This record gives sequence, structure tokens and C-alpha cells, in this order.
Amino acid sequence: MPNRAAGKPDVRLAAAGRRVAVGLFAVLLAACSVEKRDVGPSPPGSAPSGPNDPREKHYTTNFYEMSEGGRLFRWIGCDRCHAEGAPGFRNLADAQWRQGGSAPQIYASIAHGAPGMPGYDGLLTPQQIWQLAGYVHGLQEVKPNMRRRNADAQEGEPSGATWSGGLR
Amino acid sequence: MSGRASRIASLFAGLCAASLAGCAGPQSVFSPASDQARWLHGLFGLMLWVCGIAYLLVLAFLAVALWRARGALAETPITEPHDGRLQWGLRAWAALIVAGLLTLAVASFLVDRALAGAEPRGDPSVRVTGQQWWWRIEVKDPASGRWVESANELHLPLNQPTPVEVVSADVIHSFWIPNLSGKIDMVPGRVNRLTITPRQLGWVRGQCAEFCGLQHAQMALDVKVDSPADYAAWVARQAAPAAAPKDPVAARGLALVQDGTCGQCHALRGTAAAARAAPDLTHIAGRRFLAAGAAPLTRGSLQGWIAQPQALKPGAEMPATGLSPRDAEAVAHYLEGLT
Repeated sequence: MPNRAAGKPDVRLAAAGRRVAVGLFAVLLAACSVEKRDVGPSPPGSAPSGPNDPREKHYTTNFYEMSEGGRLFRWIGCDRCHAEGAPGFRNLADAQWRQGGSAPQIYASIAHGAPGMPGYDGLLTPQQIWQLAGYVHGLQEVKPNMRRRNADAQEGEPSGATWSGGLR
Repeated sequence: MSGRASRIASLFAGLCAASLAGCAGPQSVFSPASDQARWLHGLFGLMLWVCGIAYLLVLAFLAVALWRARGALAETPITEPHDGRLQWGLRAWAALIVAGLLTLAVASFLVDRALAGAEPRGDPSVRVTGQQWWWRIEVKDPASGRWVESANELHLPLNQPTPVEVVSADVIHSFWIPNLSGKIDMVPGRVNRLTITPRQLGWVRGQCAEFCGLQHAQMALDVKVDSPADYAAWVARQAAPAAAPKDPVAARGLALVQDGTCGQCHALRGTAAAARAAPDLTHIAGRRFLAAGAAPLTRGSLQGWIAQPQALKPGAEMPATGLSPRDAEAVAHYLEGLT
């Protein structure tokens, strides 16, 4: 009986369809990891151990960490120098890097500063610098219209010591 | 049998009394403490009476009909005979429903009119901004005409209509102080206004009423209705710069706050810390609660919050700073003095 059923073309098709559906569902589930975030007690983190730090993948692919980096970017006031379309080396979205464009290299630039820019080691926690590095690393892959939308959504948030008074 | 019935009745009455006792309190629409909340509470009471009476009448007539028709189903005539009393009864019933609905419509119209009439005409004197997950409070200092910033604790003057402006910095929040006003959403890109005329002194509690993320539940607003003199004193106190450190440990705490991680997000007026991203700490020790109602403001909770904020309020934007216990203690000691 099962053999005869399996021989029918429409039953075979249905079985194949089920397999495809299960496969698609598994792919969808796998995509959840980029949204995953840890909550609860956490240590402040630590600086990258070297160019191949295993945390690099997490901070450059996890949407939550990158968007937190984006919020910090404005809250801390990074956007006052590194605004959208800033000229020369202050433009962080043009894929041109003076001090290296990997997340650990960007971490080092934020922590220890660059010519004309102070270092933020001790002013931000290592976890925050990781988040900022992940965000800055991802900027070149984000299209300008999407960056503009993000900037619009953050219009009501403070930037450094200035605050315009909420979205209105 | 009747003894058992009376026991059940008394148990039911006891349960009703217990659930009613839960209605009063600092966060309840059933103990209105302002004009606006009283109007809404009155409208609610009227709706409860009108709808409750209609409901009980319907059930009573249904019960009577069932009782009268018991065992009579087989003899029901196919055509109803003309019944003059039934005709009048139905007309009276329709009139009662129209009267009930008219009462509700008129009352609702009058309350709406009263609320609209209380709408602010002039400039707001209080501005509240919802942020994930705390309230930015700004009050206009009548002495200087400038806006003074605080967080998570709002004071209002008794018997004075206070125009409040609510906005959001990030996502949709909802401003709700049940004892003082109805809910009003804080929508990004929009300014909403309401007026509160408090009529009772004392503390009440507000709560974000629109899901806004992980810590929505721990986004509470502590509200105090002050006498006009106390209110003026509160505003003047908020307008003053942060108290100077009184001892070397506090001075070290101040240095850590303004030169370290804290000062990147928090502001303490009168010091070098001037960032706006996080709650203003200028008079933090003058408030009753920490982190938007997450913990009472004590030395212990301050120190715990500085050491590990994610344990007290998981997902909050404040990171664990990694200060050494000695440094964290100095910072807590300094903050404790900022009344």
C-alpha cells in the first residue's frame, strides 16, 4: 500500500513540497540568530584579542549590536564630525580606511584615537566600542537612502550635549 | 440548605469587597485626584449604572418569560392574539433604551467638551519625553523662563491647570497617570498636549501604557502633587546646579563621573558632564526611585545599579561600566549627596 501510494506522481510531488517547506522553515529559523540578543547581567567586555578575535563575527553581523552601535554613534556625538557625507577621511561610509577597516581595527581607532580624533578608551565600555565598531564596519554596506531613513528615525534623540527636544 | 447558601453569599460578598479594595491606591482610575480624572470617572460610573441596569432588566425579563412559559410550549398558538398591555410594554421598553442611550451620548458629549475646554491655550509649562525606558521631564522655571531638566519624577501644583506637552524621542510610548488623567500617546514626530488640574495633594504613580520594548513594564513615573509653594520650591531646587562634593571620596566620585563613562551619556549641571542621552543626574538623590521606578533610591540600589544595571533592568541602555568596587562606591557616595 505505501509503495503504491509513493508511486503516484501527485503524492511524490506533495512529499517533495513538504520537504521544501521544512527546508525553507529551517532557513528562516537560522536567520533568527542575527536578531538574537543577550539580556541580563553581563560583564563590560574586553578589547579585541587580535586581528582574529572570535567576537568580530558577532558584532559585525548581529542586527541588535549594530543598531545599538548606531544609537550610541548619535548619543555620544560621533555624528557631529562623522556626519552623513562628511568630506575626506571623516566619511565612514566610503569604504576607504586609513587605519584599517576590520572591526578590531576600527575598535582600535575608536579606543586609541586617530589624527584629529580623541581616543574613547575609558570613556566608553569595551562592549560599547565593539558595538560602535560593528556599526561603523557595516556602514559601507548600507545604502544611502537606508542610512538617511535611520538618521530620520533618530532625529529626536540627543547628540552629545545637544538635544532638539524629541521628534516633532 | 439555607445555612450553606448564606455562607456562599457571605463568601461572595467578601470577595467583592476584597476586589473593590484593590481599586483604590496611587495608580487607579477609581480614586481620581484631578478635575480631568473626576470627569472621566463620573462618565465611567454613569455608563456602568445605565448599562448595568439595562443588563439586569433584560436578564430579569428573560427569567420571568422562562418561568411563565414552563411546560406551555406545546400549547403555544401559531398566531399571537392582540395584547394591548404587551404593546405598551414594548413601547415603554424602547423609550427606556432611547433614554439610556441619550443619557450616555449627552454625558459623553459634556465630558468631551469639558476636557476640550480645559485644553491649554498658552505655552506648556511641563514637557515630558518618553524614551526607552525612562521619562525626560522638563519644567519651565518661572524665575528665569528657561527649561529645567529632570527625569522620572514629575511635580504638579495643586488646583492649577497645568498644560503638559508629551513627545517621544524614539518609539511610541503612552503617558498615563490613572489618578490624574486619561492616557495620551507619545508619538514620534508629533506633539500631544493635555491639561491636568490636580485636586489632591500627595504621591501618585504613572506608567507607560503602550508597549515600547523590553523594559516597558519598568517605565514608571513618580508623580507628586505639591502645594503651589512646595511646587515653586521644587522647581527652584531642580534649577540649581549640582551640589559640590562635601568630602574627598565624593570629590573622587565627581571626577570619575565627569571624566569617565558616566559623563558620556549623563548630565550633571554645574560639572563637566553635559551629555543628554541618559537621565539628568543633577538632583538624582532628591528622587524617590532609581531607573524609572525599578528600585527605591537608596545607597544600596545606587551601588547595585552602577555595578550591574543589567541585573536590575535587563535590556536597559545603561551598560555595566566595569568600575572597580572602590570607584563604584565613590560614585555612589557622590550621587547620594545630590539632593
